[in-house]
Amino acid sequence: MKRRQFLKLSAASCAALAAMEFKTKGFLRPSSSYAGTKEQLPGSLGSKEITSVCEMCFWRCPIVVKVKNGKVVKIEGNPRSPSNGSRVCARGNSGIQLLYDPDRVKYPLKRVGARGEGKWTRISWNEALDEVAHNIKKVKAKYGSHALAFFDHGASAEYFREIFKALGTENYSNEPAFFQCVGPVAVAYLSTLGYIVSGTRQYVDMSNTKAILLVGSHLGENLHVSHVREFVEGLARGAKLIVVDPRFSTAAGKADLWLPIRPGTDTALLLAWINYVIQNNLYDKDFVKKNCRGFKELKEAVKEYDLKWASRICDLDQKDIKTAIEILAASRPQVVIYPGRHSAWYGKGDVQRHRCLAILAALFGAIGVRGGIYFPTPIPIGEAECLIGVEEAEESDTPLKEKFPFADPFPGSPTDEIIKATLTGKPYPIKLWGVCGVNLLQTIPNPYQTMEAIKKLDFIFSVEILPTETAIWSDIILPDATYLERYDHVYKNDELHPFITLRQPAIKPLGEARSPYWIAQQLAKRLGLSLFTCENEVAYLNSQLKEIGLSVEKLVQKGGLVTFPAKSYRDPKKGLQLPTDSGKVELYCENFADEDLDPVPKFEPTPAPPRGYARLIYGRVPVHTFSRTMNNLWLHNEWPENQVWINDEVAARLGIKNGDTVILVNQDGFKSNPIKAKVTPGIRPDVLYVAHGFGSRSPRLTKAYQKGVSDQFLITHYVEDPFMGASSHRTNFVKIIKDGKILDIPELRPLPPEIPRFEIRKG
Amino acid sequence: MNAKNGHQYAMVIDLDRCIGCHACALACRAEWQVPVPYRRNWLKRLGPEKTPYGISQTFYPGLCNHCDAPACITVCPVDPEEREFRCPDTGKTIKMAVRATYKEPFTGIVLIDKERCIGCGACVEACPYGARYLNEELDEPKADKCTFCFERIRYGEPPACVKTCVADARIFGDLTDKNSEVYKLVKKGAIRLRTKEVDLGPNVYYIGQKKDLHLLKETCAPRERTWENVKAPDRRRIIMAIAKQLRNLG
Amino acid sequence: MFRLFYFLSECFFFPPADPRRSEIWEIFCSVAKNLNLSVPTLNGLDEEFLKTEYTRLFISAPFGTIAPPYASVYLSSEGLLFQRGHDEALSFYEQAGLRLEERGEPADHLAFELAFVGHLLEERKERLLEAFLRKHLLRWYPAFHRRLLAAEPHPYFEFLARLTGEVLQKLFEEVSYEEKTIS
Repeated sequence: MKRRQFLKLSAASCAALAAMEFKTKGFLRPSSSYAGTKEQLPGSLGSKEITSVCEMCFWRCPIVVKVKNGKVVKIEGNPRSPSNGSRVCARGNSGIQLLYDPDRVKYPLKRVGARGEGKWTRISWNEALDEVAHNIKKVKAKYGSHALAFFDHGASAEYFREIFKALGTENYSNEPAFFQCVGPVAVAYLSTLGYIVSGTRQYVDMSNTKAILLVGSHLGENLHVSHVREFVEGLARGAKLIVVDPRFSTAAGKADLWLPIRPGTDTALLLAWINYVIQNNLYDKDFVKKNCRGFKELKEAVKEYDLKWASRICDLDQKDIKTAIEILAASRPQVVIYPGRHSAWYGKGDVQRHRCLAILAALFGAIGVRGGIYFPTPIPIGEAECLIGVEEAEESDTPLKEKFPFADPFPGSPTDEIIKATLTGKPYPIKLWGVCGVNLLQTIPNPYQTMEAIKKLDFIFSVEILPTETAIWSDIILPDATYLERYDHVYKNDELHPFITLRQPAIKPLGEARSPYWIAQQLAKRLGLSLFTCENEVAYLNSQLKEIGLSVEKLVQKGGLVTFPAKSYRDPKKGLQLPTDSGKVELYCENFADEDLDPVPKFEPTPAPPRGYARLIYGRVPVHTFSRTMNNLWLHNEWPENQVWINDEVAARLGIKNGDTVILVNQDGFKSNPIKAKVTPGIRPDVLYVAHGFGSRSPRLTKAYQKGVSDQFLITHYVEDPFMGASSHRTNFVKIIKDGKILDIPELRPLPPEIPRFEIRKG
Repeated sequence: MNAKNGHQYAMVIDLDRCIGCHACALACRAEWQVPVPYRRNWLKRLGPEKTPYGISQTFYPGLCNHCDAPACITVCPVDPEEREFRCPDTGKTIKMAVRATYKEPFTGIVLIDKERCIGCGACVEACPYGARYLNEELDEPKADKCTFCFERIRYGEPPACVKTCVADARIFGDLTDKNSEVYKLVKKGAIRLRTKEVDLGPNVYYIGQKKDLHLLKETCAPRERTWENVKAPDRRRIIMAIAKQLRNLG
Repeated sequence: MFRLFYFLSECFFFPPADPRRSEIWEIFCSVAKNLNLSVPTLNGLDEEFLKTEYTRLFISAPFGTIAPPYASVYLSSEGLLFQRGHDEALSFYEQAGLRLEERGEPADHLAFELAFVGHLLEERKERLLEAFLRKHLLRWYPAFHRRLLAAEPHPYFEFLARLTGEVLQKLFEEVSYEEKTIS
């Protein structure tokens, strides 16, 4: 058969082509086997099943990854798991979209051009690691170890944190989980009961309780699978539910009583309740006598707070307040006074609010019992020796934590202090940031300030799965493997049905992404640190599991999960022995008094919105994990944008209809993107609510580009909590702009004179 | 339409338990690789809104209702062909003439024969619940919808949405079995989304608080007799569908 | 002629071939002349820029990847890797009795597919080539090309993409013409 030349190339080019050695010719090689099409079972049936642990959020539900024809096709729960069984949530189901996201960072990248321009070139791993190590050494030599700071969250970050710790900086960690989230509640319970009742997990027995009090917590919209299951189970078994929330949340939809409280006055309500319980002898006298210290001081301190006063301050019906506390008291000791989780609300009074919750639980004797607060069960697996560089972190001469007397239990330094030091060079300069698992600009209040700080750094590097806003500001970006592509630690669950499980790779990492253990190991070598000396993850996992007679292989053979007997409740015959100074519940905190902080909670109002403004509040949605999942097509499709909840009466007065597009402007003049209004009776008139994490830019979903509003960019004013340095997130106020006109929010609920108004900074 | 002694699979969704987490929608999408923007099942968020029984915030977890008298089947223009159906439990067989979409006689599940479907979209228009979609991404467009995981239940696996439900709010079973949970719940008074105008005998039921069921029914029960707008057999529709297929192949 | 496709494959694989090299430039000019395309200006193109621009267009850009060079991204609405397009490519390789060497990239990378075209031409598997182009490569290349153009690439990359598209189109016409004349 004759072939026509469809292109007539010059002799020179033909010669050139003939002379070239093409590496691309070697891409495809002859293959002997031909698989052909096999008969397949439908859907995900007939897949290879690999047990692992989810990381679409941080609850770490055990999962089974289904692999068919070398591809992950489905993710389900591990049926052996007592916490979730075969169930995973919307995010867990959508892990495949992350795994195969074409926007993933698959290669090490180096910045070209200025920081913030977002221009990169691909480089090799060696080049990238050399560059990071070189700069770390340079900054350390020039400014000292404390000039290095690390922002961390999630499984990947844990390895790098140890590197920074071993390098000798006190800023080896800045967990937004503490400083933007659970810090205040952790301090409150640590001081009252001696352990962290609420931190990563919340040790409350909701499925066996008779009554649940939620203050602000919007269970069901924040979604931690086992926790929500326990909540639903408790309700199904007849537990009563009281919800205190300025917004009618999903939980409020299931409540026996919804108390739409004026934001910032929760402590007033709680103190009035505590007083009521004491005055009416509704507390467990025996428990208080035997196991609590400081009852006399407590009784004295709260005696002026009565229900009538609380009704006025909190803008609640007095009858409802009374009904609520009577329901809770009648259920004792099987009553869950939910400790809360995200507690960085207003700054000043946050710790005290959670102290009240702890005190109320103690008064009901609901500590260490079924249906109340319980104890975590210690799990006897060893530490992975090679993961730990140094036991104690170094402290500088002027520790950034210094002014926060209760920041000690939390690793690293408060966010705000690191940023200030980076900006001003005081008390000492910080010149290098490492970032892993934190989208700085979407997480930390006042992102404009963060950007200014980054400009001052000598070097900044990040470990990323997707190129977030932070990546645009990084000098070097290292590609992280997703949770489906790697090992991580042995995960311990120390709740009511304790177990251990582990993460293992279902497939090889995409492109040149590598597991964080490998990346950290390579970095440690270059830095001369004796860390991560175990050859690979399996080696250190085996060393941990050896203590209980297991290995990675054996654990996997057992279905990836092994349970332990629980030690959650106290022995009723023995006395309560808590890890506090006195061994008892500290109703009165002496160490607070030592630091000039109130040893018994007092009500100190947080400033109310200025005239014409409403307070901006936010929450979670069950389909997203903050801004991390915004690029996930399935999840994005399920919930593409947030809306601003506006009270129906306010909306009527302002001429705003459901679905209208508006813009929000805050007290500092920062405007949001356009957002649709959700007009509803389910929110107070002095509050506007948006779901967090939206409005982040994602060109892949071009239809969704800048869809909805980023609450973060409206959170420009914050107050530091005096105990451990958390930054407040609910101290910003907004007006509505419609059709170009700025509208004042009418004040439909009069403000009591005791509550001051926020004063807007001039200029 | 069911065979004598055939089953009728049904689902009861407990809105007291449902927290609107959307896991069901995603599990279905993952199991059957349903491409965005289509969907086989969905979760709609309702409220907060005032009802005569109090302020309500609840959810509409929706899917094909596998109706007793499905409207979709009546508008399918494909000529009926006789097929033999076999009951997996008893081995009993039955012969029925069916179009490209039919109600399977032994399970009561409404299915689509992808080989015979010509992708005309009549059934999509006919369903008052909007449960069907036309997958135009395929080389040959086909109608698709929830199958109550017919393919999975044969192997003893629960439907994907039931398996993943975080709050255990979805109960699946056989209405003809008096010992089944679905039967008991329906007997106790579970409601279904039907109105005076649209009553096709849906087999998805809901239970929950009075105020929530009220909001659900008011906002989500269909009132439009959508199948009456679809004329079947519609020669124009058939010709257009076949022409489209020929274009795609060429 | 088959060598031209190994050449184009090199241009789309990292690190990309440098068009300033005389023999490479010669080939481009010759092909461009055949297709009536004007050759681009190579202003501002140095080794670093070449890599940066390649990275920007095909690897990582702020928030995402501009024009991921994989069939899978364009052959389904979800735009993911390793979906239908990927399996299709693998199936074609198998039919030709070829196996992909592990190169850290999914099988449907444009560079692999161009090399595959080269193999099919070299081995004179015209029927399979016609099917590959019609059912697969030419179904996603235009969409990839459009995304690339929307990002305002350097004239060299614009030229490369256009040239490749036209070469493929011409090849297809050639092969399907022969198909028709044979059958």
